[in-house]
Amino acid sequence: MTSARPKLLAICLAVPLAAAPVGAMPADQADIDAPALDACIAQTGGGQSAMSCVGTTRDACVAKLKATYKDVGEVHGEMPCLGAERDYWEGRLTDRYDRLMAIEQGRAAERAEALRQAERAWIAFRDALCSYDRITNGHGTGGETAEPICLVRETARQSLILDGYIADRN
Amino acid sequence: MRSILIAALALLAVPASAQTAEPVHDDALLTACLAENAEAGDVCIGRASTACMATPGGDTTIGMSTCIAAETAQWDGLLNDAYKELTAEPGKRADNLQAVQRSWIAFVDAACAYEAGAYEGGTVAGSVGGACKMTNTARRALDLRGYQQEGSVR
Repeated sequence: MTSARPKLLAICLAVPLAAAPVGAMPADQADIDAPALDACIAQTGGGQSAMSCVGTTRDACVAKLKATYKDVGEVHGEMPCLGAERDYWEGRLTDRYDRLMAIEQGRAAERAEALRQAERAWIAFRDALCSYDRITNGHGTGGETAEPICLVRETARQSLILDGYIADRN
Repeated sequence: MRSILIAALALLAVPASAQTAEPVHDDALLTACLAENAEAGDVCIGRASTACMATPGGDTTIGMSTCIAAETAQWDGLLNDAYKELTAEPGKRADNLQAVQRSWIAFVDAACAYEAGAYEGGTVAGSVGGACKMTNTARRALDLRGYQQEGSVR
């Protein structure tokens, strides 16, 4: 859990005060269509094919922000929307992790510990991977959105991998 | 998909008994597949080891592990080639990629230990762990090769 937040704050501060309503920051207003993402995942049948759902609600989120805050540019609108989308996938990942952990705890202490270690190692890898995307600007493609895009993508991927583990255990 | 693989491995896992034939891994399969699927190398993962398992001696537990190890080694070579090129120039970028790679190794070890542990004591545990490592090595190799391509555009 690093990164996105400080940047979001910086962006919020950068939004001109003229943007009404004053006080309500785009970060709070960014609204990712969670039911649409849920439906997309269900439609793909889940698993790694559901990776195609990542980002599908992002444009609508940015459009909504821009309609409310006339001065919000494309990138500045995208950042809070990426934050909101990351929250969606984080929530999904936490839910799957908790479910899987409950299953493993019911099996053996070593299984629960192995899962805990795997998840911890994954977090370290994700953070390193996405910070590399930041310093390379998404390898020349992503600019300042490279890191949050990476965090969204990798978190989504991991939540779908855990779906597979849960299916295997049941 | 993994469940299907595991079921297939379980069905194929017959005792090595009198089998003496060594299964054959063909490097050319992956090379050709990657050339044909430059943008979607994911489809190549597992093809060479599957072909290897169809050769004499490839359908035993040992044979399958040998085939998976052989494909893993080929992906690992591709990964190392890309990594060396990407880190050739010393600096922040190279240091960062080194850190990513180190954390990736720790992640794969932990994730595959967890995956294989689910089948501990069973005949397929080794194959599951091996397949996990192969898939992850392949994905990482493809990612690094992707970085190289993007880098050449920059």
